[in-house]
Amino acid sequence: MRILLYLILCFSSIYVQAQTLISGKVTNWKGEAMIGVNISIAGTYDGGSTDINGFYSFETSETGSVLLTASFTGYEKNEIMLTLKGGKIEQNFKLKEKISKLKAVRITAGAFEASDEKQGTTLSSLDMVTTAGSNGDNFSALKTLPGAQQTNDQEGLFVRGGTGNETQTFIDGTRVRNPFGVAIPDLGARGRFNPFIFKGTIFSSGGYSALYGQALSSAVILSTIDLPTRSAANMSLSAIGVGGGYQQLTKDKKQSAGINYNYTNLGPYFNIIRQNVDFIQAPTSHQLDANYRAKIGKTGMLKFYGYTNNTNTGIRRDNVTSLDYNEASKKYKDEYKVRNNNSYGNLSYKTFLGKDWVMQLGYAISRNEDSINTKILSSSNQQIADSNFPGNQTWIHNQNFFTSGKAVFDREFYNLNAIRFGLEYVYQIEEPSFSFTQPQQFQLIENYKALFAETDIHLSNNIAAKIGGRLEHSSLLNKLNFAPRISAAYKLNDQGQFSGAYGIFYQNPDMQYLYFNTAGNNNLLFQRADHYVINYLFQHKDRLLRIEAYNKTYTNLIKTPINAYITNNGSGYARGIELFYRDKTTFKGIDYWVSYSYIDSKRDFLNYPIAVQPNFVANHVGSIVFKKFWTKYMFGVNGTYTYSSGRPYNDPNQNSFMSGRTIDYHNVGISLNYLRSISKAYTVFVLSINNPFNFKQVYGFNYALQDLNNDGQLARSEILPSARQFVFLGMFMSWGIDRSQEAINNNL
Amino acid sequence: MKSTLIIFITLLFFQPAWSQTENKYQQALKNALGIMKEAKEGEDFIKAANAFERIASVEKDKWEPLYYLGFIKTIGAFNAADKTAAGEELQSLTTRLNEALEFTDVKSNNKAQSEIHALIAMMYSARMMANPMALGSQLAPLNQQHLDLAITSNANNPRAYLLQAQNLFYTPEAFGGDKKRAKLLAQKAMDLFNEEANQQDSDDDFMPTWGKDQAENLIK
Repeated sequence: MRILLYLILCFSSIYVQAQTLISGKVTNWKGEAMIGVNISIAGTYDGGSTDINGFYSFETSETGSVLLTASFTGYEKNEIMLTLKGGKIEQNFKLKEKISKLKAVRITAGAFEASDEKQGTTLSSLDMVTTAGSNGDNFSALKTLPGAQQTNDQEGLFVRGGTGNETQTFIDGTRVRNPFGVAIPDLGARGRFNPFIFKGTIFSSGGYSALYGQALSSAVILSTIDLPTRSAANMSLSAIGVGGGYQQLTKDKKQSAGINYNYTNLGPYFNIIRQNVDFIQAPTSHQLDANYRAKIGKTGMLKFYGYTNNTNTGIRRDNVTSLDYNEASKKYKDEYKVRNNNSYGNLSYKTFLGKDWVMQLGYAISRNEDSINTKILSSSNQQIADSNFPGNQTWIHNQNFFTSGKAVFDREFYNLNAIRFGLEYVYQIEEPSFSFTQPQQFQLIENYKALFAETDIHLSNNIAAKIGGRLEHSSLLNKLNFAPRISAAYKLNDQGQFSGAYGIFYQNPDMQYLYFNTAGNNNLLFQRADHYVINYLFQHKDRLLRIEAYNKTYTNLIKTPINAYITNNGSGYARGIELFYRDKTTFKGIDYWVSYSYIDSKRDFLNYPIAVQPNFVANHVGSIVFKKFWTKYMFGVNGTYTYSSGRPYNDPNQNSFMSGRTIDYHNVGISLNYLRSISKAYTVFVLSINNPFNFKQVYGFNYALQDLNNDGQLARSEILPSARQFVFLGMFMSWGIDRSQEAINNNL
Repeated sequence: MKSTLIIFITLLFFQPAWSQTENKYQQALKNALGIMKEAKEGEDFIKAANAFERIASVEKDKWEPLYYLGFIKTIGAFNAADKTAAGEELQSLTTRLNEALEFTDVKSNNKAQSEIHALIAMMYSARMMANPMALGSQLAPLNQQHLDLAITSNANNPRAYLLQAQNLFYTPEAFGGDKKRAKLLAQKAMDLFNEEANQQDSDDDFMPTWGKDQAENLIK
C-alpha cells in the first residue's frame, strides 16, 4: 500500500518538477525568418509562436517522447520527435512552401480566361457582357483580345491566321456544331448564345489541352452557370425586340428550372435607319430556351440547357456581275432569302467518385436547317431572261444533325498533381441539297471517336507542366491521328512568369469537300497545325501585362484546283507577337485594357495559285476597351476602339494574286448604362452606339464573274457592313434576381 | 479491504484529474483570450490565434477555440494586405466551423449555433473583399443565408443584428442598402448588447461578447 502511495507521490512530483524550455528559430527554404509559425507539442496545449525574427520559446511540463510540430498556413507541416526530461532544448525548423492552387504557377500560354470562380484570371464573366460594341455577343467581346481578327463580314472567329471554321466552341465540355446564327454572305453572323448563361469563358488562341480537338486554330470553352441564388422573373424591351422569362429555385435550393422567350424583329429599326442593303425581310427570330439544374447527392451537379430558334431574313443588293454591263437597264439585283431552324440541347453531370476522382459527363444534341433561296432580279424586281445568267434561281436546303458525348475522369493527387483522361464520341449527319436545274441530294455520316489523357505535374509552386495526348478517328476519312500536347510554366517571382506550349492539332476538312471524297476518291487526310507558343505574364496590383509570341505551321490544308480532284496539298504558316495590358488602378475608377497583335501569315490553300497572305488576315490589329461606373449616380460608360490594318483582297483585273489592300478599319463602340429600381424591379437602361464617328469600313471587294462589256476590266462592289452605324436602346427588368449587384460590384 | 482501498485511492487520483482537464481547458482558453484582448499588433493576434489553434487541435469537439481562431483570422482578413491569401485561409476555417455546428455541445446550444452562423456570415463578407466584383454575387447570398440562420437560432444575438446592419449601411441604396433600417437594426443590437452585459454569468464565460463599439459607431 505504501509503495503505491509512494509511487503516486513520486509520479506527481515528477509531473510537477520536470519543466523543459524549448526554443529555436524557424526559417523558410531560403533561410528567411518566419513570423507567426505555430509551434506545438502534439496532443497538448503547450506551444508558442515565432516572433518577428523567427524565434520561439516556451516551457512545457510534458516528459518523455513528444512530437514537436511547426505549422504555418501555406507551408508543409514539420514534425520532430523529442525526448523531454527537463532542462533546455533547442530545436530549429526549416519550412517548405506547400504547392497550393493559390501560389502555384498557372500555365497561361495561349489562353485567356474569364471566370468568377478562379482567382487571378484576366477577365471576369461580366467583362464578356459589358464590353462596348459587342452588343451582347460573347464572340464579339473576344475580338477585343489579341489573336482575333476583325473579320466582321464572315461567320466565325478568325484567330492567328486561321479561318472561322478553325475555331471550335465547346459548352460544358462538348463541341457545338452551329455556334453562330444565320449568316448572310458578307454580313457575318452573331453568336447564338446568351452570354448571361455562362459563368466562365476560356479563349485559347493556341496550344490548348488534349481535352479538346478538331480545331486547328482556336478553342472557345464555355461553362454554364450553376443554380441561381433566387427565383426571378425578367423582361426586356428594346428597339429590336421583346423578351421575358422566369426562373424558379426550389425551397431547399437544390433544384432550379427556368424558361425564356425572346422575339427579335429588326424591321421597325430598319424603317427608321436606312441600311446599305435592301432588307426585303428584316431579321426576325423567335427563341425559346429552357434550363434545369439540380444538385444530386453531396457533390453531384446536373445541368440541362436547351433552346429552339427560328429565324427569317432576306435581302436584295446589286448583282456584281451585272455591274459590268454598260446599260443601266441591265443592272440586276441578287435576292437572298434564308429561313433557319435551330435546336440545341446540352445535358451535363459532374460528380466526385469517392474522395479523389471527379467524373464529368456531357451530352449535346443539335439540329440545324437552312432553307436558302437565291434569285437574280431585274431592277424592277422581275425575273430576268439573260443568257449570261443561266441558273438565275437556286434552292439550297442544308440540314445537319449533330450529337456528341464526352466523359472525363479526373484524379487529383498530392501537391495538385493530377491525371485526367476520357473519351469523346460524335455522330453527325450532314444533308445538303441543291437544285439548279435538278435536285441533288447528298448525305454524309461521320462517326468521330477520340481518346485523350493528360497529366498535371507540379514540381514546386514555381514549376508546372501539362503533358497530354489525343487519339482521334474519323469514319469519313477512315484515318487515325495522334496529337501530342505539352505545356509548361515557370514562375520567376511573385509578379512574373513564363509559360510555353507545343502541340499538334488536327481537324477534318470542311464537310463541303468531303462530299466529293466519298465519290471514289477516299484519300483526304486530316488537316494539321503545329503550334509553338511562348508567353510572359506580369501581374502586380491590378495591373497585368501579357506578351505572347507564337509560330504556327499548317500542313495538309485543302486545295481545290480547277478541274482536278481536291487534295491535301495546301500549307501555310502564321507567326506573330501579341500584347495585352490591363490596368484597373492607375486612373481611379477606370478599368481599361489595350491589346495589340502583329501577325505575319501566308497560305497556299483552296484555289490560291501561290502562297499569299489570306484575305482574312490583317497584319496589325488592336483594341482599347475602357469601363467606368459612377456608383453615386448608378451610371456607367463603356467604350471600345478597334483598329485593324487593311486586309488583302484579290483583284482579278491585276496580274498578281491577292495584291489589293483595303483601307484601314476603325471602329468605336460606346455604351451607356443606367441602373435604377422601378417598382421593385432592378432595371438597366442601355444605349449603345456602334461607330458614332461614322468611319468608313470596307472589308473587301466582290468582282464581276464575267467581263460583260468586254472592256478587259471586271466591275466590282465594296463589301460593307449592313449599315455604318448601329444604335441600340433597351431596357432590361428583373424581379428577384439582382443582376445590378454584379454590375456595381464590378466597379467597386 | 485492500481492493476497496485501491479503488478509493485510484478514484482520489483520477477524480481531480478529470476536473483538472476541464480546468486545464478553461484555463488555456482564458489565457488565449487574455492574449487576444491585450493584443495590439499583428504579432500578438497571431500569437492568440496560434494558442486557439493548439487548443482546437486537442479538443476536437469544442467549438470555442475554433470560434476565436476564426474570429481573429476574419478580423485579420479585413485588414490583410494580401486579401486573396487571407480569403483562402478563411475558406478552410469556414469548413471547420460548419463542422463545429455538428458537435454535441453545439447541437444542444442555440446560442452557440447562432454565434457560429454569425461568424461564418462575417467570413463571407471578409472573403468578398479579395475581389468584390467577382465574388460579390457569389458570396453575398451565402452571407445572408448564415445571418438568417444566426437569427433563427437565437433571435437575441446582438452580433447577428449588427452584421445585418453593417450590410445595409455599406450597400448603396439603389441595391437594397438602407441606412435608416441599418440604424434601426444597430439600435436593436445595442439594446441586446446592454442586455447581454447584464446577463453575463459564469456558464457563459466563453461566449462571445464583442460588437458593442461597432454598433455604437453605426448609430452615431
